[in-house]
Amino acid sequence: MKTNFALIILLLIIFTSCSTPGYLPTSSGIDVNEYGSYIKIIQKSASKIKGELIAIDNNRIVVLVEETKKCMVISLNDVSHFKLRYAKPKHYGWTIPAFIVYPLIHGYYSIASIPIHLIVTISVTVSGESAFMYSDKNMTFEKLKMFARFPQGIPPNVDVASLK
Amino acid sequence: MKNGLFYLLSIIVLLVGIQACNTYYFRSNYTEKNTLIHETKNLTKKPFLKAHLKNGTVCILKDSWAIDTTLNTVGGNGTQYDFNRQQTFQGYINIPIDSVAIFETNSKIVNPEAGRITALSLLAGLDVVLGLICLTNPKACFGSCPTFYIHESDNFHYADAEGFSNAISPSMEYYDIDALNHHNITNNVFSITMKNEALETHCVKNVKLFAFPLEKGERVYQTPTNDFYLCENDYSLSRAIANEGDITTILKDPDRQERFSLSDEKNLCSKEEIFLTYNHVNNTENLGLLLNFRQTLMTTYLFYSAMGYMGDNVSDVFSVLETNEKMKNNFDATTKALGGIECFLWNEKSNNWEKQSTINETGPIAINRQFIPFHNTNCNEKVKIKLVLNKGLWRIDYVSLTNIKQIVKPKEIYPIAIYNKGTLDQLALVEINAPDKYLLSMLGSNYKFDFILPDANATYEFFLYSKGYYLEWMREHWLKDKDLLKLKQMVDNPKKYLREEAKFYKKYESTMEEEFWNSKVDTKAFSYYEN
Repeated sequence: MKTNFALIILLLIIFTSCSTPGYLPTSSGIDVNEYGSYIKIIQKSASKIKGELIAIDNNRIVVLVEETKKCMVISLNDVSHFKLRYAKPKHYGWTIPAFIVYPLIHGYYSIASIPIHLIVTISVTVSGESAFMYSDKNMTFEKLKMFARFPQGIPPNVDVASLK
Repeated sequence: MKNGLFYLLSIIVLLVGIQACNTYYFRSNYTEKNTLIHETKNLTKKPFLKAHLKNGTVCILKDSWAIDTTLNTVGGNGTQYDFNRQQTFQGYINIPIDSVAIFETNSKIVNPEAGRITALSLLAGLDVVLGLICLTNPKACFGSCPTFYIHESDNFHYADAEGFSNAISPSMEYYDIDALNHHNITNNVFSITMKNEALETHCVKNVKLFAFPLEKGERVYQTPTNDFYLCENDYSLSRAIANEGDITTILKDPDRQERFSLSDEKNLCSKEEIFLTYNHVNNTENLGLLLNFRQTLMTTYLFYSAMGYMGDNVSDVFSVLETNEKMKNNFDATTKALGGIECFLWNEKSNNWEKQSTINETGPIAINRQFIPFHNTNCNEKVKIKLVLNKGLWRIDYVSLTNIKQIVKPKEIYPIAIYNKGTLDQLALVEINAPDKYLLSMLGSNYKFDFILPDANATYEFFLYSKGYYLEWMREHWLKDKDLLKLKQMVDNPKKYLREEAKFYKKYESTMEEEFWNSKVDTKAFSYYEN
């Protein structure tokens, strides 16, 4: 039962990790990315939204929603939690099945080497997936601004509805 | 056990710790050009510069940008995007600073994957080292034969029995009886778990339990010919002498402190002697010697060598073994040449050593307990015994003298339930109890057998009966060892082979035994020493 549960978690990690948006840069292209970072916001009064972070001012946050391709304005007071990803992660899910093959040649020692392999490869996979991410636990709205497409705020000449 | 756990945890903490070091990255924004100049002037290499214009356009300049404080502009090669991030220009851009809302510089993250790659590299390194150890010394890493455990969670160091070790092909099938020790039973169910912990297919025909109820002070011991003797009294060893000197303390108690020697570097088939003395033997009638013993890895080495010599002809050789009776009988010629533990009793009247019997049981994992009943006992209360055995082949844990009461026949008990990794397996039960069927057990298999005993709250002496054969899985790295002439020599001229192989085994022996026993768990109570 425990094994099944762990496998499901692993598969979820591997499959969900493939769904990062195309406009996010790789870690080497972080400095020249023209878009805003990818943000997931859990609202207090509405459902979760995710998309490109367009801008933040003192009262509101503007997100170009992934599903609708339209901007949505959310009051900062309505943000329960958020997670921000500013670069594509490296996926290490393949190391779990790849490295688990090795203990097969370890004989008796596989009693120790199997758990080591599982713990290390799962840990590497999880940490790889969670790299280049921030959340409301370690980021204020003030710093979050820097990861927006318009860190200066929505330019006065730009109609939010025309953003894409 | 504690050391093993400590090392295991240390490796995990090290590897997880290395890759867990996060690289935090924050963008730097500047609203003032002076701040930008001040913050970036000491950098040996200028970072990219992103100029967010007030109209929503962004210009990303490469590291050649410069600020002209006279004209109040910033210029450099780069790319310009509109507010929808459509590229509108690429080349030299001159931007009036007044039109800029915010400057942004972003330092590159240096090797963000370094920690994770290091952890995986170390893990791969660990694999290579352990893999090399196991590939060069496979006997130190892989066991053989089905192993049986009274306590399911025990590891192979505490196996209570190992079945039919010599049955390496269907025609070599035989039954094996192993002493399990005596146990107090509080309810009438006794369970034992059979595991396959090796790269082998185990074909198990029967598993059953032999049980004999004991009165206080009684024990039942098994001879090499599978006769069972009810015994009483236990005379403690007074003195034991081997080539290395006094070994009394090693052999005095069944504590898994084993006496073993290293092989002769000139000839694997080389004998040595151990002299045992028992003083104050009150009753010299119907004496017998009890031995707790097992083999070193020498026979495993010889078997694996034979498999290697077969190379890619392994199936042809096994086909001959199955069909040629002479070949089959000679296949283990080297093991036969090494021999068993011969037991001699000193005859006071004739001043002569008289051979009593020979003990021989293959297998390096589970400790065997076997009994030699003496005949023609002619000694006073001081009993002298000599054991003759091959150097480097046997590990002896305990020797004891006891008196025989009578020959007995333990009750045969068949399993009433079999659990396959915890799930009741009716088919396995049918297969194990049917005379013409086999229970197949593959690497990782775990079958628990339940037996019902006649009486609860009794003490029984238990023996495990297992019958079947196993098929060793060919390893890829063995193929390079193919040498059919060597194989022929093993069969036709085993003594010459054992002489020639001695120097090779000697190199292997020193590391093999160390590697095998370094992982020994040394704090566990012994399963055969309980009660």
